[in-house]
Amino acid sequence: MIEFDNVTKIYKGNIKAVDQVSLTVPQGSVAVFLGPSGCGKTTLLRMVNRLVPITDGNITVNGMDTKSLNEIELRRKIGYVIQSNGLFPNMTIEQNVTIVPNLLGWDRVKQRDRFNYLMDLVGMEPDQFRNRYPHELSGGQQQRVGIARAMAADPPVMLMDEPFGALDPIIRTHIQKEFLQIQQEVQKTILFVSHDIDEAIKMGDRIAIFKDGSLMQYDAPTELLAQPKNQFVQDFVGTDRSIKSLSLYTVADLLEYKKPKPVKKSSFNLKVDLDTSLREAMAMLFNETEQELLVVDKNNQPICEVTITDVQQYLQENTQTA
Amino acid sequence: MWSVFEYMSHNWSQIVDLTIEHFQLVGSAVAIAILIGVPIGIYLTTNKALAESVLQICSIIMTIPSIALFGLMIPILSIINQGIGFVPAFIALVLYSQLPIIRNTYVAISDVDPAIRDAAKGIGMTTWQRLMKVEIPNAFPVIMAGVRTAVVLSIGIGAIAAFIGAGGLGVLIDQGISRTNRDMVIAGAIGVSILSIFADTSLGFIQKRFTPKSA
Repeated sequence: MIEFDNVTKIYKGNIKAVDQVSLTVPQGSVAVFLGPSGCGKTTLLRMVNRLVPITDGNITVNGMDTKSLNEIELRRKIGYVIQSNGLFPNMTIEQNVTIVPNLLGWDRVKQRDRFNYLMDLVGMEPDQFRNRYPHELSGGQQQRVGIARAMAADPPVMLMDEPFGALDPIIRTHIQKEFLQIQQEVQKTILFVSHDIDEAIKMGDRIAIFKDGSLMQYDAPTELLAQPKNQFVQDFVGTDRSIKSLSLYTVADLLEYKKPKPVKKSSFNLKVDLDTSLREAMAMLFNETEQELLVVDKNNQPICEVTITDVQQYLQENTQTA
Repeated sequence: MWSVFEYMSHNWSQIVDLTIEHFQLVGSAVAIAILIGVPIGIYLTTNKALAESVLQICSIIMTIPSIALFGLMIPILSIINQGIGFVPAFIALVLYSQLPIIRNTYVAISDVDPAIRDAAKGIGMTTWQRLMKVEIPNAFPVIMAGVRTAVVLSIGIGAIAAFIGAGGLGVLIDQGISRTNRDMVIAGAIGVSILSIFADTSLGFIQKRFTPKSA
């Protein structure tokens, strides 16, 4: 768990980069810091491992005040991933990944086991990459190694500063997905800086939107899209926020809200299961000439049918501005 | 032309002795220059204002003609009875080597990718660990380039040190001029050139060997 308590950063010349921010990131969840450049999101992130000193307020990580710890020790307990991966070009992939265990004085066998485990976790063959150098890897591979390095000493908390920002859209989508799978397995408490609302919706359990160093709104993505607290947040999430929110809901959510229509037709061209996102379901309806989708359960047994109107009603009900 | 080779084959052992002498003078001077220059260069990266002045001073030292520097040191070092010979030559070479070594170290360390430095800090390296594990290895090729410049420079200036009795291959040139023995002068010059090429090539090999694969 990470708690920010009235955290303020004032740079020389009385420039307020972060202004009295208070928020709590629950254990094992991902909080995305979102906002335009210069809004203080990166500064706030870097205050957690004290790369930027705090002017006022407190940050506690798992109940411990970060100021009470030696900053070197503190940083070794917090995973850190940056946009340009920051891999050390003079070290092999194995040396890069095991650098923190190495600094902590783990024995060789333990370091090697950890390397093998982490490379498997990020989907790379350990033996194939062990003795290679960062420049021999593609951007996506480098970023995966960067993530593996950050998790090397199994820190409970990870800081990620636009980790996928330098990747091309296809690779980025792919790694985002992979990362969510990894997160399901490792359950870290993660702070994730981004300037991309779509990435934030995809990655975040909660999203904090900042403007000029102040926290505008801190909510779950569905809440943020359904009920933006002010004009800034509304503009930032965009006029297409209802369409964005489609990817956050599944067919199961829709059925919970709306009583399923019994199946009338005998044959359907389009079938979806309960875990399909509404975004995919809508895309299928737009692409085909069909009016209805057949919803099936895990055993491929029909449950009900869904139409565009059903989705529309559901969205209108859920995304009305407060 | 043949007379030069004849001279060299007749005086082979003397030429080898002088070459070794030359090499010892330059080698010890540059070794000390590295021990002084590299730490200064690294320190200057933390103090940009001082860096300007120090590099300026080093440049000024470089502009002093070597023969004038030797002349200046004679009265000073005479106090400890070392006005001529190895000591003033050694000091001069250490001074001349400072500019390439300090400047290259300073530039190389300053130019280490800020993202790499940030990552090193962020994962919890101490300043010393960051320097030894990340900054110096990545700055190594450029630092080495400075050392090579210093070595070649010192071998050339070292030849002039023969005029103040420091020995080395300059002795052949010095005596050749006084005796108007052209073969002797050329033999000395060839020796200096070969020594330079040899030193630069071996250092180039070391540089390659220890340069991180990426650079």
